[in-house]
Amino acid sequence: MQIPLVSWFKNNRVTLNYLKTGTALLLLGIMILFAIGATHTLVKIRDHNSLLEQRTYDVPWSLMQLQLEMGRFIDAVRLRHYGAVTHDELMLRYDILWSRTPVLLSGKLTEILGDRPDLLQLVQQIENRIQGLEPQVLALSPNSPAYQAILIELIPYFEPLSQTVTATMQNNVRFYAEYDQAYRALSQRLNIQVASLFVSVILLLLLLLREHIRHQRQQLKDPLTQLANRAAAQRRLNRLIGRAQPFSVTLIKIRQFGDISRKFGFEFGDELLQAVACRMSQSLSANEYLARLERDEFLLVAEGLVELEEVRTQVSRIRELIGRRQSIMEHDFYLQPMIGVALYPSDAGTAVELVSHAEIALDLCRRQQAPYVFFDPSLLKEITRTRQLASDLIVAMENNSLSLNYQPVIELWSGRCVGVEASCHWHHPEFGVITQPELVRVAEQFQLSERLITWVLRLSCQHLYSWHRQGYQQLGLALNIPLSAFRQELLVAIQGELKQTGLKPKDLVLEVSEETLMQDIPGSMALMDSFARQGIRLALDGFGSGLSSLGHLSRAPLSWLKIDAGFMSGIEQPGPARHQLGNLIAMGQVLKLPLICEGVVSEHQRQVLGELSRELLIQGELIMRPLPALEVQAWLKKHDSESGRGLMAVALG
Amino acid sequence: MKRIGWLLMLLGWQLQAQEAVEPVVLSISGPIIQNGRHLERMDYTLSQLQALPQVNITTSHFWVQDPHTYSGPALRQLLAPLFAHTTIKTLTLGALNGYSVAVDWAKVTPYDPILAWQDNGYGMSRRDKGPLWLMLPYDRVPVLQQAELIHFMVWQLRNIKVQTEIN
Repeated sequence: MQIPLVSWFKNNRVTLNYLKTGTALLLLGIMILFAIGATHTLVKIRDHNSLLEQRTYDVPWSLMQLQLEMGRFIDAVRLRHYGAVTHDELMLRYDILWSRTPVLLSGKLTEILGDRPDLLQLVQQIENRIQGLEPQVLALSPNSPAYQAILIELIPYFEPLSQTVTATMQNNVRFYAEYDQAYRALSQRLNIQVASLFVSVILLLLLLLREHIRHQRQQLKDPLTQLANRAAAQRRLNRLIGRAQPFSVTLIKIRQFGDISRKFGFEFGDELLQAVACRMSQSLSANEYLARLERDEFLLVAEGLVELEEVRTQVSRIRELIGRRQSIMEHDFYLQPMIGVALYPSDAGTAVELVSHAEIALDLCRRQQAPYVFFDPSLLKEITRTRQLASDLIVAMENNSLSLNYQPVIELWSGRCVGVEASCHWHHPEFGVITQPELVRVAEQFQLSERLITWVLRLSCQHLYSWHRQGYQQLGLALNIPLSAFRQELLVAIQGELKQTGLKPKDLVLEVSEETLMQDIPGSMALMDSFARQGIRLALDGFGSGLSSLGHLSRAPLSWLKIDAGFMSGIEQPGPARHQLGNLIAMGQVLKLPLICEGVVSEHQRQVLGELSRELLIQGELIMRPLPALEVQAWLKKHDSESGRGLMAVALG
Repeated sequence: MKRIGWLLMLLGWQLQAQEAVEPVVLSISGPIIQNGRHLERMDYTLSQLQALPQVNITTSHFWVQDPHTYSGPALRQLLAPLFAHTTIKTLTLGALNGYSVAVDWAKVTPYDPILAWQDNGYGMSRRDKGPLWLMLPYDRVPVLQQAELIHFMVWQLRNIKVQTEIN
């Protein structure tokens, strides 16, 4: 159940992003607009202020000063007439009066007065009069009637000047009133603009903050499934560990995922993961937490889950959940989860260790095809052991502390020894005897197969060469070639070794597994063909236990089929085991390929085999256990003499 | 005797006349200490001021159309020896016409004002804003401060009252 609007938002994520960007840009635009407006208003206010500054200071002030000084001078003239002031004092007033008019008639005030020609004219006339009065002023002495002439010259200007001053003042008052109004309007505008600017800044900040928070949250989220990602899971685990609260860590992988992804494509894989994630997250209980760590690896944390029984219940719930039919784009899948579980605090003390332990369990689950695996310290021991073995193996090969054993292969009907199969074993100073299968596995896991096989090849060829020289020229050597070593490089190595020892290609038999045969049909076929062309023969190891098709078997350049030792058990009595072995032998005959039976342990088995087919080669404890290289020659000698008698016995019997 | 009396009178008049030729153009008042003596006022004649190191300021300002070159002693140079013992806070500048303005010394001292007596090489008369005009390098004053500092450019400057920091 989803609200329509929510689903619209989910489906129109891109549109939504555009909308967000649009809103942010709009806000930014509004902000810039208001900022420009406010700046404009501020500039206007400044202009106003400077206008006011000029206005207040200059014209009225200077006019008033002129009026004042004229009054003072007139007073001084009168006082001089009565002898109350000195000539110097009179001249001081006269000079000061003189200095007042140029202030108005030059400099910047003249520019300001440019629109008042009448005023300029008045000042100009006053100046003319003042300057014209100089001789009379200089000559003025007390009690002289000349003083009246001076007064008559100036007094008529006193009144117009006063009127002008008054008018200018009034003008100024009017100007102030207008200015006040304009100023008030401007400041109001400024207030609004600044407030709006403030609001839009806050809105933008909020938007940014929201985006930031969302982004931070997104960083802890897996974009594909919207589940928590590795970083978030890590944080969660650390928090739980910090609280010392027990919990379980369950790693879940889809077993078929690689296959499906390869077949249907990457995007299909994404769909599948989304579906799985959706299904799992919907079934989470309150104490559970789901995250996606890698492509198809999910992490399920369950708080308070410590009892194995509880974890098992949880695991089977997950298996059931994922195992249900899942239809994607009309294709139906029944998925199988691989599950590895580790528990806190019993399995590890840190988040990293816990997850890596669960990974170990998961890896085992994958290898063993088990439904689920709980981490166990022994697994860790196993891993440490393998790692130790791998690093020691390199040294062991260098100082030849590995050794080769040889198990004879004989013709059933004649008892003649046709060859030996080399097997490698290692007496490890710490872990004891390491058998060939483990050795091969370790070598494969740690990319040492090629080195191991080269080592085996070199030593066994030397051994074979020495046996040939002692008269056993017919003796062949069989080598097991693991899948990972079966490559073109091996052919080169073999050719080099043959050349060095002087052995012939036919002296070697390479035993390859059905896996090798099947790995990449055209490639491996071509490789087998090139071995065959060089005269190196191939035997199929473990025939009957694998999956190879008859088609492949008939096409591959094989010289022998080696029946798996498992088919030998129970053939002593007539029954299904013997019947099955008979079928395999018949199949070999159909393929026209000779067969080798390994794992023959009793005389009875040999007799049964003899009844089934006389053409077989056999190998096993009955003939001889794998022998150290030094004992091979003695055995061959002994066997030669015995087989003669044995044959006679058979003939006599 | 009469002749000697006349001679003395004549001599006296001559001395008086010589003194009258050199009138005082500037009085500085305040807690002055000169050569260890406390004074309330120092008077300067124009030639005394002209004898001090002269500084030129070329600037335009409100009352002229083009830049003029003014010269005269730097005010700081004049005040420094008189008020070496204290810190000048405020100057009250008084003009011949009675105009007076208080100046925060710290505000104008960065501009190093001069007591200009010469304008483009000509001595300034009383009729032409002389004999002393406190001149600032107005062009160098930031626009925002110009409106304030223009009031400190007092012409027909006659006296300077110095207020110092009370120690």
